[in-house]
Amino acid sequence: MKGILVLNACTNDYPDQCRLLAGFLKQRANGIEADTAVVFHKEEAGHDELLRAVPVQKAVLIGLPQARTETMLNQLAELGGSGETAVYLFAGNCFGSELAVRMGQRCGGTFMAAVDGVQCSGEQITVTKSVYGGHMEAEFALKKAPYCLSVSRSCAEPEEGTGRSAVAAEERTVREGPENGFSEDYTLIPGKEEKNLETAPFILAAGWGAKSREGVESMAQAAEKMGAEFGVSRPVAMNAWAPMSSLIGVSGVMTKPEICIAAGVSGAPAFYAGIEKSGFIVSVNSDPRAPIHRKSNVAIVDDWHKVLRRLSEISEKPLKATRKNEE
Amino acid sequence: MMKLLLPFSITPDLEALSEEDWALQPDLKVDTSFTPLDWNSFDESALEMSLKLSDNGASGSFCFHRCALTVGGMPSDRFLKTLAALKFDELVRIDPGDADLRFRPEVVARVIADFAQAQAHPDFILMGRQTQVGDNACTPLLTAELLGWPCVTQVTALELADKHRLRVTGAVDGGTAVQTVSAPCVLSIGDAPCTYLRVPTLKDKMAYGKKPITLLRLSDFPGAEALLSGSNAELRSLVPIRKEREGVLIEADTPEEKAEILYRDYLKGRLNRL
Repeated sequence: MKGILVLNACTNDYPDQCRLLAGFLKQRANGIEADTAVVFHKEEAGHDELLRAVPVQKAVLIGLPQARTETMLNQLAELGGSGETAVYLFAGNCFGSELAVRMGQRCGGTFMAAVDGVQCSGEQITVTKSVYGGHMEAEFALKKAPYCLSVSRSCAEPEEGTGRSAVAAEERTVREGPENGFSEDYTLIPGKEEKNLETAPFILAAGWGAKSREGVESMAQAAEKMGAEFGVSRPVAMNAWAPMSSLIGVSGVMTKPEICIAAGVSGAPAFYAGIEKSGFIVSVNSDPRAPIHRKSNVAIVDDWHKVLRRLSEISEKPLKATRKNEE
Repeated sequence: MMKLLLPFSITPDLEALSEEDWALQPDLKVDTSFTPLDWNSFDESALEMSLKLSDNGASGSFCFHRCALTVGGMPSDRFLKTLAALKFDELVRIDPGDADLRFRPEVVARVIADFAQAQAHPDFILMGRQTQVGDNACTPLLTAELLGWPCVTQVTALELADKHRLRVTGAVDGGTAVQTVSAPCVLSIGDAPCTYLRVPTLKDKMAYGKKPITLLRLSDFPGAEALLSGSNAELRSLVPIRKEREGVLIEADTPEEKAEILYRDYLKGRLNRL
């Protein structure tokens, strides 16, 4: 079945989208022949650079004054309304998750968010995705084209260096129409990239078992002492005991450190998805029935506070200090 | 007065289920009837954010009309009564009967859109971005499409801008977007910190908690009921996901000793190799 990638180059995660969708096509999609990508970009963006990252042969470049989903949707509805049987694949970030569903609905097709895999055989198409908060995997048979699917951020290993310098099959610039008239003073505030959780080799993750802001701060101090990056689960971030930028899991950062210590974490699938690619996982939780123990390589059933205090005392060569010395 | 429609769902506590509890019934359902119920966390944020709009000093004596709507069985009434005690103006439950709506966001969205158009006439619809059981993450987006309204997603903060508009903060890829949004609009609520629903006072429970709940049925929404006969995405199978590792338990007399064993036997070498 024909596959079309939809990429948003207006945001700084454009290369990540390209790598994720390339990985998905290679590892999690069967029977899809994707040769075209629709790339939304800011008018001033250099086309050569955009084309270098595209993981398929051809690209339709659509220049926009601003990254607004309502404007993108109008373009996609035109594209999907052609009646052609095709699978549109979107990265499962904020834009992709929204656009896939709204495009599918607008074009009278089928939509699904956070898909983990696609199988196509002739005109038949089935997808898998996690449901029940990550406890179950569901398989769905999709019935009506166009099939608009956003891809789960944790389902595939991103493919590095997949850019093949696509050819620009079409280039157009779109003026903003009345679709954004509902919104005034639209201001995009770039996020602070202080944290490096995504690429950190050693992470200490705090869960609800931290119990308080003080508990979380104590864990953060232990992380600092051990040379680990510090992340948290959703309940901790929702209580504002730590910034949202440190959130690990399906709502936040997907990490893949060599070592992850999960302290006071229960092991809910939504959080675990964010650390499951860790090389080695240590759980510290006083509850022996906490699911995280079964999902870790090594488990300690005890008071996280005492364990981390001692652990931070005996960590002889804090990673950060070593790195600073090397620099 | 600004009219707010707040569709919400309640959810079983899936983390309370043991491994054996995930055994499937013949109709591809998981029995969650014995688990405690709670607010869907994103909807809970939407409900609390609607109340916070009135807390803001800038809103002064400005009046909001809040209509809470849920599609669910009788257990939902307990939650609607809490909202009554929190002085929500209208409480509506739509009983789905035997309909299985776990993976049918288009049906729920049709109900919400029809209710909005025919009865509630809201300026804004505030709802969580996804439910836990279906993990569909579609309902607010479809509601907006059905109504032909714009949709702002991943909303994390709201303020009153003026009597027709809200100042909306939301997460977008690579940052945060802030905008002043005119009615009508659907606002899909994301990870909004400090938005656990407040607890009503005993006095308010006594004074407002018995407000009547309007009960409707799915058959009152023929457009939604018609969708039940077929879906573009048909569920074929459900399989429990198991992601287990060795789980070697470190045993010693004190937590300090356990930490020492962890470091000596498992971490030291790995840390040196980083």
